[in-house]
Amino acid sequence: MPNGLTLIHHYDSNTPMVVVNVLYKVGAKDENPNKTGFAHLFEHLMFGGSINVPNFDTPLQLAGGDNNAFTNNDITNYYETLPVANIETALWVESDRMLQLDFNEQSLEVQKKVVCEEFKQRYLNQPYGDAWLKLRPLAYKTHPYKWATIGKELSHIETASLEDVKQFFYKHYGPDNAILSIAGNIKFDETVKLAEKWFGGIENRNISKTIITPEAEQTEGRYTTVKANVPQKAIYKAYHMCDRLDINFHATDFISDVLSGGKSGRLLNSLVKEQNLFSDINAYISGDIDAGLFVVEGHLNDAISFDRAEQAINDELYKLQQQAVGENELQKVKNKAESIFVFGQLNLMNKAMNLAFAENIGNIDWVNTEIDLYKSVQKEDIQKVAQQILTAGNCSTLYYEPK
Amino acid sequence: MSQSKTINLRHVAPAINLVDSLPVPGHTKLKLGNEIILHLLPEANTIGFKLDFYFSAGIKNGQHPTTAKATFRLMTEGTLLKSSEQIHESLDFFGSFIDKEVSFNYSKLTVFGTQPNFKDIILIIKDILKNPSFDKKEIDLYINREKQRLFVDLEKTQSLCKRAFAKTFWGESHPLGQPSEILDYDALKQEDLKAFYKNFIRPGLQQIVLSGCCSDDMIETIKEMCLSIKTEATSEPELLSDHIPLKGLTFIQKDPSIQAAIQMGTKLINRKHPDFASMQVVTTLLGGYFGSRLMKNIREEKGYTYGIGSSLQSIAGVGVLSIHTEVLNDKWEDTISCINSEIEKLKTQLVSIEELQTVKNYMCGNLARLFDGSFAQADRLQMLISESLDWEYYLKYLDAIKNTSVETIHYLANKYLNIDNFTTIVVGSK
Repeated sequence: MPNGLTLIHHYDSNTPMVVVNVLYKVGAKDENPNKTGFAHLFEHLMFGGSINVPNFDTPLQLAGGDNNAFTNNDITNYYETLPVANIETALWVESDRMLQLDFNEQSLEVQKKVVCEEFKQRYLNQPYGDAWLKLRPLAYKTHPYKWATIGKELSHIETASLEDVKQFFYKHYGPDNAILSIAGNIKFDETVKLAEKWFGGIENRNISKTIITPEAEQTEGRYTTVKANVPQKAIYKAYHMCDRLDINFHATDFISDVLSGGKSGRLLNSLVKEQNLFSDINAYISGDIDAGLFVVEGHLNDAISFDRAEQAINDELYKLQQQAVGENELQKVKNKAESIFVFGQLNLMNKAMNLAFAENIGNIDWVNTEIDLYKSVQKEDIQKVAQQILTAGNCSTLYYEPK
Repeated sequence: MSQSKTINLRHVAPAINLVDSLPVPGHTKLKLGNEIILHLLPEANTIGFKLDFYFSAGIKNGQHPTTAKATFRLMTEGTLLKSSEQIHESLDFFGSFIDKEVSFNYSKLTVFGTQPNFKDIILIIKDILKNPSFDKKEIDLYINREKQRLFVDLEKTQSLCKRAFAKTFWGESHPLGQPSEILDYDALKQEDLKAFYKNFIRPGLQQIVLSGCCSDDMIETIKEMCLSIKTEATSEPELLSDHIPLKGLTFIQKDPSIQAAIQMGTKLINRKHPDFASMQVVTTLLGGYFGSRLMKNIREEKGYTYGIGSSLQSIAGVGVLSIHTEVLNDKWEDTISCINSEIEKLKTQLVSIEELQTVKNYMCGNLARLFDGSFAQADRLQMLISESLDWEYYLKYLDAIKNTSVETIHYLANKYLNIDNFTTIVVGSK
């Protein structure tokens, strides 16, 4: 649109509903290192009312709608699902908070407390809850992925001021830094007309991209030990991997599937079932837009030492470097990827979000074509990536030990 | 369009259209061999399918609830013909994944996959349903994993609260009042699992729901499979005695803890009672959605919590109204008095027409969302099957919500809500 807002439309005649998804290209990585947790706190404030909509939730609930939002290191994403006849209610509230949030002290004070309780509930008040709070600063030294979305520490949230909030809004929120994705039983012309009606008058804010220095290559293994009130030992091994658009991304994703996809992964079969070293173990990728992490995470059985457990993980990773995966094994992870692709298209909200995510990383066609990139991965690609990233020097290891 | 014009239109909320019907599907029911019923909820333009198998075998049938859960979990971990590893290797190869759920009076095995692999997937499932081996090695692995999981759970104030509530509320002789303990896992025996399978699961397959892609070929494959599965009427367990929950507050010390977990609950009417739908409106108004009174009071005004909720569920034939939250450690007493005063307010003051309209519209919209797509509709069928109801139920339910008046809310709150009847558990550090 002329004001810089990107509009995406998807038509689905089989549903009585519509999904309105607004993605803002701001996440924890855009934060000031001394004011972390801000993007997420801000997401809470976005429900505190705007200039013409004093209460955000009530109009949506009256319209039979449901809404929520989430923040990660890269983006902040807001969404509404409601009967298609009431789409204008969603467009009204979303465009109004894009136009101007109602900055007020009361809302800020309460949401600071709510976010602190969220911090405690999700990260501090449960065993292993703070693992990622420890792992991030170990793996990243310069890149802002070094802090978690919830923030580095409670004090950063506690000291946020109304002035900080205003600055953050005008620095990151505006039509030119957002993607509006609408999916449901509504035609293209009507969607454009309504998007122009509600969002067309909001001025472009000339938002500039945050400049981020990429993380320098890690050449030496890093280790740290946490002692806490946990029932069993746990180990986290994080390896730097490529970014979301990199040619190696899909092969890297497949490595995690070969190791622990479904219930037939190598780690489960070898380390849990055959060798009895772990009660459970998983491999996964962080899925960030910038260069992310490939993680192996497991809980050790009683009386198993960290040395022995870690050696066993290393042996499995070494096998991937020494020998290409089997034809069947490769076909298995490809079939799984295809299945996930099919199921991802069955849910309206998924479709609206996936369109916005794909557009945000710069390639909207990926909602349809990324599956082909998965299908074209060769076993040699997997072996090559394993050799590149699964090395001791590229790894940050966190040992979690019962007090 | 000029800027000023755009701004002006913002002062007034757009007009709203109410949800006045539900896309209740006209689904096909087929009677297969051996008295098994197949429900079809087809969706065009997808090759993805979901297949739910319902067994009349729930935790009420086991000697101990842990037995029922373990049997159902381990049923997919090896058959007389194939090892657990071989089964999962082939399921993964065909891009299939399975999900299991054990509830009070039934259990459910769900299989997801795509149409081209349907026959191959069904071959594996048929083997699982007919020949599970309950291998000793797999049982030991399961016990180890579940025990470790339980150790982690026992460190969480929220889990401790839930467990203590279950025991106090249902009574320790009721299957729902017996959360699994370490000792229960140690006591699991191969022969008990085999017996539970033989007596309840094997003869208990009664309903199958296919949603998503439903081709004639697929239906034929299911028909053939069912011919070789025998079902029998299973004996109903004895009726459970009506336990009267211990009322009042129990505080459980857990050090260190950063937040206190609270769960409150009381027995109420079940789903088949004529007041149930309107009582759902009362519960939603109190704490069932983001704009609820409890969320406004405890989260949005006081900032004590990240979330608080209330729900009215029909469990094991009993209606259960419960409220749960995790709050600042030194604010749990204040939280409980706020909850009590919100309940009192419902009994003494009439709700405004606007607030009631908001809740009702939210609930109707939510109901419409629950019918969006064939997979979602298959999930609705789950409740209908387990409670022996039909789609008509949802249409009546929608009407009942729409017809709930300000006076009804006031009347029902007085009829059913009594603070003195609540069982309250708090876990935290003093």
